[in-house]
Amino acid sequence: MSSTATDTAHGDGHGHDAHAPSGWDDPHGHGGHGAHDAHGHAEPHWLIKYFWSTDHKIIGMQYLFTGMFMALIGGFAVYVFRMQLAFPGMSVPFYGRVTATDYNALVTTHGSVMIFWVAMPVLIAALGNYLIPLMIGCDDMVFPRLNRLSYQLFLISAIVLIYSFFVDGGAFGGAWTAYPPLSAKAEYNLTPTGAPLWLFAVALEFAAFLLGGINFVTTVMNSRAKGMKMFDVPIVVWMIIIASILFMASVGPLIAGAVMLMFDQTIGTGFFDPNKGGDPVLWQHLFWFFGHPEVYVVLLPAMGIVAEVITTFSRKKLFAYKSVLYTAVGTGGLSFFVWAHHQFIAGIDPRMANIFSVTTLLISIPVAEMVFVYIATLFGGSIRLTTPMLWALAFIAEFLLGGVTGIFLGASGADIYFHDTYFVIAHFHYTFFPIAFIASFAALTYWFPKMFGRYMNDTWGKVHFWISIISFNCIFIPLFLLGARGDHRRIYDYTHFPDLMKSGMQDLRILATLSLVVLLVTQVIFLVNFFYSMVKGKKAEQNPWKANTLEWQCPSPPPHGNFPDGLPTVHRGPYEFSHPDRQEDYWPQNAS
Amino acid sequence: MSVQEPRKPVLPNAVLGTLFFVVAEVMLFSGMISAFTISKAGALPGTWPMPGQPRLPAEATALNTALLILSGIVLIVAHRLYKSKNPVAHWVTLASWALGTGFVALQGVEWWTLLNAGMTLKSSPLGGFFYLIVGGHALHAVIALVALFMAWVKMARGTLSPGFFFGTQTFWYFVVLMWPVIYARVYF
Amino acid sequence: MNSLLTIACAVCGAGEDPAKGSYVGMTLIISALPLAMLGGIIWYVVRAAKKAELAENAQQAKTDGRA
Ligand code: HEM
Ligand SMILES: [Cu+2]
Repeated sequence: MSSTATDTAHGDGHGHDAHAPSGWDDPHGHGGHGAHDAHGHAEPHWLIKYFWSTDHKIIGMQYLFTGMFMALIGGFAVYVFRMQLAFPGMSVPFYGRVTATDYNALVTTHGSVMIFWVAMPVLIAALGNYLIPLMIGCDDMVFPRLNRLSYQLFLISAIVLIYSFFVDGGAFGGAWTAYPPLSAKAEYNLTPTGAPLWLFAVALEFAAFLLGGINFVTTVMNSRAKGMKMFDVPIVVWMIIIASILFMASVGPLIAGAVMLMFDQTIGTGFFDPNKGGDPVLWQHLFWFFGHPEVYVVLLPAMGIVAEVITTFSRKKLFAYKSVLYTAVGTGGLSFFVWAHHQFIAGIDPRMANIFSVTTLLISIPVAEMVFVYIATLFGGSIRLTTPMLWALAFIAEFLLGGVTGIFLGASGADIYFHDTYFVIAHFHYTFFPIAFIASFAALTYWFPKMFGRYMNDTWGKVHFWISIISFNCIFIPLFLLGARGDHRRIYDYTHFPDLMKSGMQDLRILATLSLVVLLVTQVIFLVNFFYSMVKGKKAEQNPWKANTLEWQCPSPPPHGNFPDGLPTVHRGPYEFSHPDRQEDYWPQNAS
Repeated sequence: MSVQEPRKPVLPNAVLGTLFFVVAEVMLFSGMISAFTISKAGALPGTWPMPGQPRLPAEATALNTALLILSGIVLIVAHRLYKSKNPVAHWVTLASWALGTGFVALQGVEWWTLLNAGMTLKSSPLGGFFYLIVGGHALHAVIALVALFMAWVKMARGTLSPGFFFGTQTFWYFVVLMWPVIYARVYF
Repeated sequence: MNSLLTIACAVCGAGEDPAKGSYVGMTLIISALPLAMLGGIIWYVVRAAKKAELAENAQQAKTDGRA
């Protein structure tokens, strides 16, 4: 374990430059791989080894499996509260009767789990950790211990959240956006212990991603393979980096707000309490100042995944690599100027609202441009409809719907009517579902052979794809229709609201709920396929999709240290497909 | 097995990592300060500070402010001396630490007086924001002072790594530079 | 704002809101600040990279001259 290529590389130049200055990150003064050197002496228990590993691939897997587990919780929560909406008062199978307090807790749990404990860890932390060192051709992150700490904090945050389901009063019931006064006072949200625990879990989770983000950015800046210039970095790596930077720059005000809200909840301060001279709308600003950049934090990595998949399966160079990159940077910059579109009717100055309308409409331009670039990439390519490719194409189609409906909401006049209806719910699910699930499925099916050295079953993959996509649309198209008819989003039992029980409205709710059940059950196909293929799937070679990026130029699965034949040297960009001078239609970045 | 030529990083890892961390920290404080500013501007007339509540001791705090800024300047000098391998560098570092500790101690005295005068987290929005922002700053100052003390010990023993010293310095400069902004916004 | 008057309409009330100035100001500052800081870092990195490249070229020229 101690004289592999990796450690040699550490011994001379590379290792020194990469690790020596990190002394303040590493109190014992030796390089980041100290933990591994210890293996020679006494083999610790494999569990300890697993949880204390600093290998980026293991940490990536830890994030992935934790995220998948949390997705089950988020999925169960949505099942229960959708059943209540479709069949009010019924005893939900596997749960029982849903009280109003339960309903609030379930909605809150669903929203916060899916965004903070599924989308973020899977898209950014899991894929970022797994892919970045492989794709830029180095052996590990530059701060491996910081990386391990990041996962451990994340795990603790997940445990705190799960623990909060079982305390007195149950899980937090103030919605994922935690608007005061509902979230600030136990008299209103009825979850005296759940509320501060929820906030604490969210704050811990942010600390974890802050550490992870710093690590990603520094690694990409300083540890790229020899010869890899700025424009040779694969788009997905760029996207994860830009997303991490956006996260770091926007999360501060929310952490400030979270501390203030926690004081309001526990000590009884009045930061957001109008009776004590506070201002509840202030929280909305602090939350969405982070919240809107956050949606791009998850969008950009998803866009990056799609770029990798569609270039590989259309055997074409990415159309306008540099435009995609500059567009992503531009989107990130603009995303700091749109947040108040969430407060259009919270009593902000309407002239302010106009300005934010304009910026909101503006930001749809770069996003649309990225979609056009991807379509141009597909144009004229030799397209192979493998499972990952289907997911990637579905991402483009479905996300488009989400983006377009965002424009309706961004027009402040229209938003007076749409705000807090199911139209908003449908809008952000047409963006978040493609991001958190469709793109993740694209990524998992695409990189599965690399991660586990085996193929997933393609037929079952396609069955899973089609049923998921159809049922997804059958959930949210009805919700668009309901929202346009004024269906308010925070109602527990519509039978008390005759205006919202007019002809056909309940039928649409039932249709959405039944489609949801189909969607959830379908995921069993994926889980079985995933875990079965991990051990029994067909063996995959090193580069099964004939792709160019560096992760495909090392064994599947990559060993500790990633590149057993020495770190690669890069000669060209990542998307040199179907080059006219070449017999093969691909040209690995490191091939001479 | 190939021998790799090192990629020379443009900036060392510790430098880059600290820079991004400081960006996040600055945003944390700007979130609190902007919330404070908006709350203050929106307060009903005559409620800021609440009647019967103490005024913040802006004049007395000028002394603290001076101490802190001086500490930052002294640390710059220490850095110069350290770079030129001057043996007194660690004493200058200790002086910077002592000045910073003086700042924190005076802050403690100030909090004590204010608490005794009836200004608490709950007494008014001003009290809440005061302890939130100034307390947040004090927390950072204490962490930075612990690091600075460790840097002094290591420097005196000759085991200080440049990365550690750089990280500590950046963090301390952040604490020093954040303070005048807080002082100007919160105390007046 | 006149505390005795309750203003239901945001448009009418907004005109006299004394918090408006600081609200707009803080909005501008807090939005521009992250971009300014990140811009600063990028500028610093690019400058350092250029310097390093110049130094490397000079080194290269020296060794070439010797050979
Ligand atoms: C990147 C993909 C996007 C995601 C993940 C996303 C997500 C969300 C979320 C989570 C909400 C509201 C949540 C809530 O109130 O609980 C929302 C609302 C909104 N979105 Fe998006 N969005 C995206 C793209 C867009 C685009 C491209 C636009 C406009 C061009 C847009 C405009 C809006 C507006 C105006 C609202 C506020 C609606 C309201 O509350 O009345 N979004 N979006
Ligand atoms: Cu938004």
